Amino acid sequence: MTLDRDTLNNLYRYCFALSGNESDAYDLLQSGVEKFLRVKTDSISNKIAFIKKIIRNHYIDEYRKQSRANVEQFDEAVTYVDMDTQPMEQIIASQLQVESVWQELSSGEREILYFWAVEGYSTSELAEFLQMPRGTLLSKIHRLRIRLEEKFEDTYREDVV
Amino acid sequence: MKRDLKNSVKSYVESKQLNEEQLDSLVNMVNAQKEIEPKQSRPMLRVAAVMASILIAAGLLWNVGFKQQPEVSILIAEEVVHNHLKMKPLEVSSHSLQDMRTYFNKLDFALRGSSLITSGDLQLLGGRYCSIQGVTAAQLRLQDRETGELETLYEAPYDNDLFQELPDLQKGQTPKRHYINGIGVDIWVDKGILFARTFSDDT
Repeated sequence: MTLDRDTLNNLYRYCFALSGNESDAYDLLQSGVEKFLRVKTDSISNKIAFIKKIIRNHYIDEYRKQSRANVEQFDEAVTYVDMDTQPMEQIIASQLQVESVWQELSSGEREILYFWAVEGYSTSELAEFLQMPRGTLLSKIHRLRIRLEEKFEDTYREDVV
Repeated sequence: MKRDLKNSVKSYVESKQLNEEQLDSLVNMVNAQKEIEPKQSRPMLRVAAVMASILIAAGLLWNVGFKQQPEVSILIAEEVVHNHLKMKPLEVSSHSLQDMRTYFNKLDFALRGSSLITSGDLQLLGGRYCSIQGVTAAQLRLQDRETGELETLYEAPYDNDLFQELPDLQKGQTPKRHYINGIGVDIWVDKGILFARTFSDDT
């Protein structure tokens, strides 16, 4: 795999999903690429997934310790509802609405949206990438759906007023 | 226009892309790495390299009892120089230390000057959050008023256990100096804060 312009732009979008803004996304991508280039990757089959892991770990390390990461602390005690992403497919929202709530979402929520909408991951694939039990992920998706519906309801009301 | 969430998220995220300058910078970084990567060695050379590695590793293991951990101040200097050379974008730009204090409100200490840094010679340009050896730190960028050269100054809370013994100005000691990749770094402690400052020594 070569880090060509298209690949760099794709990775930048993932960084944008994690960090929530373009300036931090570039910073994050730069650091991720630097780390990737220092690692021998000959034996790694999926280099794109590998560099995304590097970026994700770097984001968590750097930004969490600066208290800037809005990484949601998942309450494992909450009973999860086994739901798939299907109900998310039913949410209606304009691009403007997505833009208006983007930064209010946690990095974890934006990451789920990114993999679901942009990369087309299934919940199993995403659970594997995030190294998270599928049930935990489904619960997060369920809560995200409720949160988004509430937010879009708010923005809808504001539009109308 | 209303449409389903999936398409809206997709089109919003895909509307984001690097500008040409950013892309060029990253592509140059990748190409520079390719150039320094060693060429594929021939099989016999590979075998020789593996054997040499085994011998070196055995030697290192043999001496492990006598081996000292690298001095922490060298690790600090390496980290400071690495970040200095990257010149990442500043998160806040200002000539005022007070503005910096306001911005760096998530640190566990108050930013301050040190008697070794004379504001007459240097102008503060701004700063960004960073870390030294995993400790959250402020990275400040300074400019020499006379030469225009950029310097990087780190400030972090001094932890004796983590950073080991470092020269303390209040005890009348002078900074520890290291050179990494041609860049000088002075490291010292002043009033409980660890300072690390790059300098260019052309003499």
